[in-house]
Order: sequence, then structure tokens, then C-alpha cells
Amino acid sequence: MSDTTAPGRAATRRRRRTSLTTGALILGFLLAAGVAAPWMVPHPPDEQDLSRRFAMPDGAHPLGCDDLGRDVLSRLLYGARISLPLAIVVVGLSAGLGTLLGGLAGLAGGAVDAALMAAADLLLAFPGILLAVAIVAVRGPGLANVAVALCVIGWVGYARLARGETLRVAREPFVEAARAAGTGPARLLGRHILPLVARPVAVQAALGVGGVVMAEAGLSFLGLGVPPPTATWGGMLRDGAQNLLDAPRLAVAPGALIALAVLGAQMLGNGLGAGPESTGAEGTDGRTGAGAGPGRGRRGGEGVAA
Amino acid sequence: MSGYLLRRLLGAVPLLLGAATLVFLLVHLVPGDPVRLMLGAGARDSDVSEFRNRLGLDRPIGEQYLRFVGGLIRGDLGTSLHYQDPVGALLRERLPSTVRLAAATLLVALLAAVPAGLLAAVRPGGWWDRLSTAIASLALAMPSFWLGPLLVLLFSIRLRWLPVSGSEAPGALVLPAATLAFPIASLLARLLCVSVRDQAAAAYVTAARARGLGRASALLHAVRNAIGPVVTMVGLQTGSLLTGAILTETIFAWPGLGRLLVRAITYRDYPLVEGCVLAFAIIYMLANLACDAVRVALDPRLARP
Repeated sequence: MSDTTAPGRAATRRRRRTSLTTGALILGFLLAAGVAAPWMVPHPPDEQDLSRRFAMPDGAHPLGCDDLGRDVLSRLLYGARISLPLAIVVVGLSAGLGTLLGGLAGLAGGAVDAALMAAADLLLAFPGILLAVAIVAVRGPGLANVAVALCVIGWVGYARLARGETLRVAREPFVEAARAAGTGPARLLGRHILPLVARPVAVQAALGVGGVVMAEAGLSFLGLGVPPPTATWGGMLRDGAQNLLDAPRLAVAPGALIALAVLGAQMLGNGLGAGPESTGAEGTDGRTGAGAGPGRGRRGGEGVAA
Repeated sequence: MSGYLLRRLLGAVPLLLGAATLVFLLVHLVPGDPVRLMLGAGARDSDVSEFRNRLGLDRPIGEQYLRFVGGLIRGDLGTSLHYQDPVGALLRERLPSTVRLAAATLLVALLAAVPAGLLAAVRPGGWWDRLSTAIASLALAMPSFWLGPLLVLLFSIRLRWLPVSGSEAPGALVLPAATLAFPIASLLARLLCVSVRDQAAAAYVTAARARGLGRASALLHAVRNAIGPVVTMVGLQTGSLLTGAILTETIFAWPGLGRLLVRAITYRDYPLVEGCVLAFAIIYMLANLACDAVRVALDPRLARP
């Protein structure tokens, strides 16, 4: 269904470049806001002033105060220090491990492949972030536990993708030539196969960042994320939802930032999805865009939806 | 068809046993002491060891596992520490609420997605196509735990049309179902649109049109063949529906399995956590099986091994 005429292809390229730039700008802006937070915030994020409970926005508190009189803007900026860096670390670890295991399984075949796919199927038997919820429930809330839980469910999608791509690439004549020339499996994988697998993995990783932001926020919303008083967007949204009658605006800003981060990751992924050299299988776009779960290939985001 | 279903059901048994084993290992082998977490950091060692004894956690791990699997086969999932009731009974009590919410969500999602997707497919690049694409991006980026409170704010607090939470009042199902259905409907609409367009461009549709078949009749042929991926996606979406239910039931105080799981976690009620997680995995497997059965009914070629 994609437009295969030359002007059509040019328009598609332009659209994708715009998507890539906008996505990168959004994520870059949110990351920069988090990095600069200590110098930018008007008040310490945990400073309570009970005389200013639910205070409306004014000059000193541009977005007002929460139920404990803490400055909302400062907490939002500090929240950016958790969500995105955590998502990038989780996606980096999951994508790295998943790609390596998937590549190995695809190349080795036989028992290694069967064992890895059985493990993947087992983890995929649990919908969405359910297993992450269970892991954090057992290990207790906290940044490290959330990261571990999201990595445990995250690597599967990348492994399946990398395995499929490896099986495809391994049939190419240049790989067969390298094998015939006596190249060992490690070099074959590292030098000839994984570089070609990297691109689809990068697309999924970009989408995965959005999925992890959403999953982390969901865990924090359930009280299973980073414990208070640390400011996280999911935790702020939880507080906001609990005080809807008193100060509905408290629920608006953190949710909007989560949505903005996920949207930025989606645009980055869609922009990466088909560069100029890609033939642009547009038909799959709706699916990749939706697969913004934490790199699970099938949507798990709340996730992701949730 | 029945042979296919039997094969799939038998294939699900080892997966289910694997899932149960994973849940068991999670609670029993993951570093960190669930009993200490349950009793709090200040608990006395004697209390901890007594509690371990009561839960059977002081037995060898192999024995604990065999007891767990044996109980599972008999349908005995243990006793909830908080409610002091059998876990199985608690799950059976809450299951209908979650199923009701899930069914309403799927109904709303399909009622919205089918016309929206077809309308977008008929005029590629038209205003509805572009608008629905934009709505889909937004819907997939919006966390349900944001959309839910926003809907409550508008329809319950401002307009006072619908109840804030609970499941008893008339109309109580509307907001939770709408919250869960929004991203699913957007996704299904986009998928249906892309799928119908792919089919409409296929040679058999062109051939049918060349033989004089009207545009609408040709489109009907395309739609029938385009439904397959949508049905598969409905199955996969039950995953996000179930995890979404954990959050949505918490927001709307809906008395289903999701809220029970959150309660179990809050009370560190590990037998109940195990039971809820397993129940979700089983429902997910059955939903995907049902969707595959529908796909095979639509296209019997898929049943060939």
C-alpha cells in the first residue's frame, strides 16, 4: 500500500525524517531537563511546606504545590531524572542481551535454539508487565528491582527479533562465503551478522524506550516502583489521582509528560523504521508503533496499556 | 478443526506447568526473603522462623515444589494469608468481575474500531485516515492510569453523569471499559485499515472488479480476508487488557482479579500473589487459543500442521 512512485518515496522519506527529528528533540529535551534539574528547580523536590498544601500556581511555584506542599515543577523535573535514564538503561541491557542470545540461537540452531525459544515462550506466557509486577512484589519496590524486573521481561522481544534476522542474514551468500573461508562462529556473528541485525533492533529499542517509561510509571502508580519521597512521574500521577477532588491539576502534568516521552519514543522509532535505503514496509508500521511494550514484540506496554 | 484445538490444548499443558514452575521459583528462590518483607524489617527471628514453618518454607525446596504442583493439579492453590480463605475460592469470586470488564472492553473496542478502520481504509490519505492515525498515536502514548482519572474528572466530578468508582451503581462499567478500550480500539482500527488496504490491492480483487463486481462487493471480499490479523491482534491485546485491568481496577475500585493482585502484593500475601499471577497467565493462554480457533474457523488452511 506504500506509494512506490519517486515523489511518493521522497514524501515518505521527508515524513520519516521529520518524525525522527521531532522524536529525538522531544526525548533530548526531557533528558536535558532531567540533567539540568538540580540547577533549574526553584525548590528542593522533597521540601514540604504544609501551609502551602494544594497551593495554586504563583510566581514562586509556577505549577503550584502538591498535597504535602511540595513544588510540583521541581518534582516533575526531578522525575525526568528517573524515567528516561532508567528506560535507556533497561532498553540498552535488554536489547544487548536479547540480541546476543537471539543471534547465538539463530546461528547455533539445534538444542541451544530450542532451549532459548522455550524460555522466551515461557516468559511470553505472562501478559504484559505481569511478571515484572510479580518480581517487584517479591523483591520489594526500588529502582534496582524495577530495572531488573523490566530487563527480565524485556530481552525476550529482542531475542526473537535478532534470531529471526540472524536466520535470514545467515543464508546470504556473503555469510556462506565467510563460513567457507573458515571464519569462526564468534567472528561470523560479531563481524558479519550482528551489524546487519542492529538496525531492526534499534527500531524496536527506540519504541521500547516508550514502553519502559510507561511500565515504570505503571509500577510506580501501583506503589511498586521507586518508593516515596523520590519524585517519579508515575508516583506523582498516583498522588494526583488520589487527590482528584482537591486538586485535579496534580494529575494532569505528570501524565502529560509520560505521554510526551512515549510519543517521542514512538516518533523516533517510526523515523528510524525506514531510512532512505529501506524499502519501507509501511504495512507493518501500525504494528511496530503499537508494539511499544518494553521490547516484547507483542504489545506489553502497560502497559503498556494499560 | 477439533484435532487442531486438541493439539493446541495439549501443547498448552507443558507451557502452563512451566509458567507455574516459574511463579514458584520466583517466590521461593529469588534473592530477598519474602517472610522478612511480609513481617517487616523489625520482626524478631523467632517470629520469622515460626512463620516460615507455618508456610512450609523451611522444608527442602524439592518437597515444597512437589506439594505446590500436587496442589495445583487438585485445584488447591493454598490459603490466603490475609483473607484466611482458599486462594481458589477468592479467584473464583473475583473472576466474573474481570471477565465482565474485559468483555465490555472488547465489545466497545470492536464497535469503535471496525467502522473507524473501514472508513479510513476506503479513503487513504483522507481527513478521517489522517485523524484516526493521529488519534491512534495519542491513544498508544496515553497511560490508562492517566486517561482513567481524566475521564473521572470530566464525567464523574464535573458533569456528574457516571459514578466515580465501584461496580454496583448503574453505568459503573462505562468509564473502566472506555479507559481500557481506547488504546485497543485505536490499534485495531489502524490494523484493520492497513489490512483491508493490503487485501484491496491484491490481484483477486482487481480480477473481480474487472469482471464487473461492484466496489462495495469487492471490498466485502477484501474485508473477510483482512480480518485474520485483526483476530490475532485481539488475542494478543487480551494481554494488555489483563495488565491494563490491574491498573484500571485499582483506579476505579473494580472488584476483579487485578485489584485482588494489588491487594495481595500490598499485604505481602504470597500464596494469593502466586494464584493471581497464574490465573492471569491461564486466562491469557485461553484467550489466545480462542482467537486462534476463530482464525482457523475463518481460514481452515491454518489448521494444517
